[in-house]
Amino acid sequence: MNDVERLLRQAQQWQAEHGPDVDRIRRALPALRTRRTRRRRAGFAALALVAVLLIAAPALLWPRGEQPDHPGGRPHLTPPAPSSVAPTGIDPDRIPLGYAPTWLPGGLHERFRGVTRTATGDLRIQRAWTAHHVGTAGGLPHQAVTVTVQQARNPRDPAESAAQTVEINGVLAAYARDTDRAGATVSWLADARHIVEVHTDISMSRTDLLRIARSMQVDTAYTLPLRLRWAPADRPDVSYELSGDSGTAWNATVVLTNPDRPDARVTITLAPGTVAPRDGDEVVNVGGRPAQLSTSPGPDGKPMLSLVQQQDNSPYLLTISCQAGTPVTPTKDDLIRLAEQTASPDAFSPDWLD
Amino acid sequence: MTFEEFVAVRLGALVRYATVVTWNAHLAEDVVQEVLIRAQPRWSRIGALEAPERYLQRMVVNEFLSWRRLRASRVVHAGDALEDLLTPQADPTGRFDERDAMLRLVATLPAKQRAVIALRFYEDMPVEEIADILGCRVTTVRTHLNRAMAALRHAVPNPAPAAPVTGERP
Repeated sequence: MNDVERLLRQAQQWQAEHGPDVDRIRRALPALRTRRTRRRRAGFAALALVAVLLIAAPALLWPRGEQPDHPGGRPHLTPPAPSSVAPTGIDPDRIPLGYAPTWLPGGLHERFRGVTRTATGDLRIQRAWTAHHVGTAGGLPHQAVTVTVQQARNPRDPAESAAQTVEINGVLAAYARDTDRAGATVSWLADARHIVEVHTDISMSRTDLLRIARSMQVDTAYTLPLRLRWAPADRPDVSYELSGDSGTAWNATVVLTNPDRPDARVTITLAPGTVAPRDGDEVVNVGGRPAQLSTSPGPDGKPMLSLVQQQDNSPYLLTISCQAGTPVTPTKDDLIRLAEQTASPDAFSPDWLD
Repeated sequence: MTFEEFVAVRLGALVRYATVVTWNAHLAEDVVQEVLIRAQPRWSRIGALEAPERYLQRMVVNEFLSWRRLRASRVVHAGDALEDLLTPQADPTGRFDERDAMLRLVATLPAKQRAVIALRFYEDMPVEEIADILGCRVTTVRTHLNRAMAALRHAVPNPAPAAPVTGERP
């Protein structure tokens, strides 16, 4: 032991012996616990109030009178959505982010943000960081670090049934390695209503994965370039996604689904490209501008009904697509109505993609 | 061991440990209270661990280093740049000046370096275990350790000769 180390150890001993009064801490514990419980209950009550206000706000701000009339006079696939309008229940100007890591291994960039809201009101927020470019095709990228925040009324603590637990900032978390890949997942109950999961399918050490998880902090919200002023009510689950490699090359997608009818899925995409034919079977009028309507084989081989419209003064295309020929396939007028009721800003450049 | 038994038997050691990690008695009290309040509802699981005290020690470090505490941890002797502190002057024994200077010097170290030297020299943990507790690489721990010791050596270049060791680790 050198002299500095000896001095340091002596100073540490002295410091340890001059700490706070242990008996005072012991005596104060019950009162602190009571105060904390009361504060937590008050916090939950405040959160519930905010949630109620958030749900009610769109209905108040978007009165029924502003709902556009149905353009074609034919029946919709469903009755018009109630004035709710934020028909999807999500405000595109304030998409929640949940949590974000404040530390990541070098070379990773955020490429994907998505939020899904189910009919029961539960939210799932996903974000992904990759070392490679993801292009503008959309979708959750592979070879990524993915953070998922699941909001539910009665979430199950992942640590309770975990084979292996770790500690994340004072909370027990479940840790599991992927059985068939090099990845791993750590998940924990971040608070009474949120489960946070960090998953990697990039090869990285357990220490790095835990460090990412331990660096997690609450994050605010971001904006999406797609706004739906109307959505069919029989597709109650909605997902918003934004992905890309830069502020000028991105893909914004809204997916409307019905958990009981997989064939009811409708996808609305704003991107520089499209998987749908650019030279459609029919030219239709959408808000006074031409759009291409066509039926063609989709990526899964099933027939896909799609509407494509070039955006004004922009390289971006609006594409609305769904499975064709099913009992729940939207009508042509429904697609036109969706396109007309989908708004996007003239200029949009998400700085988090740069 | 129940939570109440743990508090009755080990609270003193946990408080001393927190005082060395935080280098601030008030902050140590705050951190320990926070940790105990969070640990109690989960004690059925924590108490079943092989080393519940080690788990709470980890909670103390994480709480100290968490963003909520960073501001508080910085106010310890804030403004005392390491180089501004004087090398202790000789006194009849030499040891008290050196100790006081060391107390002030440690307070000027960054929070993570302070935590690392607490775990290394007060808890006598190997660097691998420190890395696990802090959730970082072993090389990172070594870097913190080396930087802290280099800073202290620079500020205390010629300490007085070693005195006989008195007192035991609590």
